[in-house]
Amino acid sequence: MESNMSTQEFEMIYQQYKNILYRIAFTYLKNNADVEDILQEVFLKRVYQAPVFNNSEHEKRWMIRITVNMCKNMLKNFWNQNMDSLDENMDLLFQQWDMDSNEKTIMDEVFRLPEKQRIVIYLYYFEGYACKEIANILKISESAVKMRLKKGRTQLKAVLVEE
Amino acid sequence: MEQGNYRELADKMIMPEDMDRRLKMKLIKETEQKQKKKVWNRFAMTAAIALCFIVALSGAAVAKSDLLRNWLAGLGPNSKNVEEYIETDTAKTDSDWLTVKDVYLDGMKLVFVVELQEDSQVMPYDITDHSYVDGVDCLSDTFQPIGDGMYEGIIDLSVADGLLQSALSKDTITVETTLYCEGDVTTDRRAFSFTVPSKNMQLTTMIEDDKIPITEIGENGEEIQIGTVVGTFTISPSTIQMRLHYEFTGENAKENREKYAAENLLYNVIDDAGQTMDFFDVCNWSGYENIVDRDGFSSIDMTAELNKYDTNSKTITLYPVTVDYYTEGELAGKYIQGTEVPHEERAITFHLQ
Repeated sequence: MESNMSTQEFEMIYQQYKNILYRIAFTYLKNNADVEDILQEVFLKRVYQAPVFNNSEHEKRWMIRITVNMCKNMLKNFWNQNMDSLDENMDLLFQQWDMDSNEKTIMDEVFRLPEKQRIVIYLYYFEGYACKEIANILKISESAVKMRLKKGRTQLKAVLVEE
Repeated sequence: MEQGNYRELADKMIMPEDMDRRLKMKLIKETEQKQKKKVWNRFAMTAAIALCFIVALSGAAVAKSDLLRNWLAGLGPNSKNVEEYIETDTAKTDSDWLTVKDVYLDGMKLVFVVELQEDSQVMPYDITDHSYVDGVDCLSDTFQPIGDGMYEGIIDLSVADGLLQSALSKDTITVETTLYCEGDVTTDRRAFSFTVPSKNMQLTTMIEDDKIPITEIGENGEEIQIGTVVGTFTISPSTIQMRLHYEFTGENAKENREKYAAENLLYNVIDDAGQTMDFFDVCNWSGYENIVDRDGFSSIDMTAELNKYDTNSKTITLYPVTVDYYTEGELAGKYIQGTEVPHEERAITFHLQ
């Protein structure tokens, strides 16, 4: 499929979505190397394979959904199923992200949640999506979203209160 | 915790500058290359057509399917075995919203490429879990976009009861399945079917190897039989399905069984040319079943599918690798890299021909 997108258009889209997609992919994969590979594919799909969007929210959800799907596919890989660790340079990242120690603790605990709870907690509390929208993005039922939110919240509370 | 409270925190999680720079450069390079490729393609088209005529006249073999390249790339040494069996444009469908392009069918796998009509390309599609091949319920494995409105689908035939026998008596078989719009599994569903020649189903064979004694060296250097294993193999050009039945007897039956066959073991698999498929390349032991542990007797059945193992190999040699596992935290249950201990002394060789 040929792309008629100009460099300026691409630059605009890249700047608009790079950070939100980075955050979502990082929430799944927890390491920068894999995130970089996924985002490269996502933006190429946006250039060459994207449908006609009704509005910017449609475009945003499409890009999030593609990112989520690609991250899930990467995690299905047998090697990745057996390798699950936070980025070795998390401290460096926290510095680069300009977070204080309290914020670091919160993020650290969020990233340590099981994958299913982690992404739901992230989309709800950090991106402000409603349960119905999250269900649509993740292809799961609304009640499953609520259940995962509840479990994640309980786990986070337990950990954060302990500290 | 209130919804959206952490918005500010999220805003701090920005892409690191070095990644930003690198990613942008990669994207620019990639798009430029695609543009160049398109220009080159226009010039190359005439030459390619001419080359096809030359190759056809000389009778030389060429790769039959570029569309199935993703799947072929994952087959390792077997990609060369399967290429000649790919059917190009022979599948027939009545659906007016898609075209079935290349199809590969053996007794273990059905792999196909469909091209959606332009007005059906608006949203990404996925495949339902169940597909019906010659009326038999089969497991849909994957359905992934490969670009230009095309998708590659894989249906697993290895667990389809009776399909092999029924299909062999027919010239063609019918594949029925349903696609749904990703994120909307209930409302936007589109069923379609297609027929393909079934002749390649006969490429699959089943082999049961002899009962192999499992022995260990006793204190005085004598060889003591501690158990037996029987391997049953379903072999197609693309895939080997391996089912192993282990039986151990004697005072330490359970302990001995767990040295050879247990869920916490990984395995190295070696073909007759000495190529090793590392344990993490074994495509999952899909079943640990029928475990029996009683006084003086222990048995287990194990099933695995090998996708990258040379299906022309005359033997399969298998030995266990022990590893340590994390016992706490989020990594609990995952193995610790670098703790692998291969046990070549427990190697068992099965015969495939």
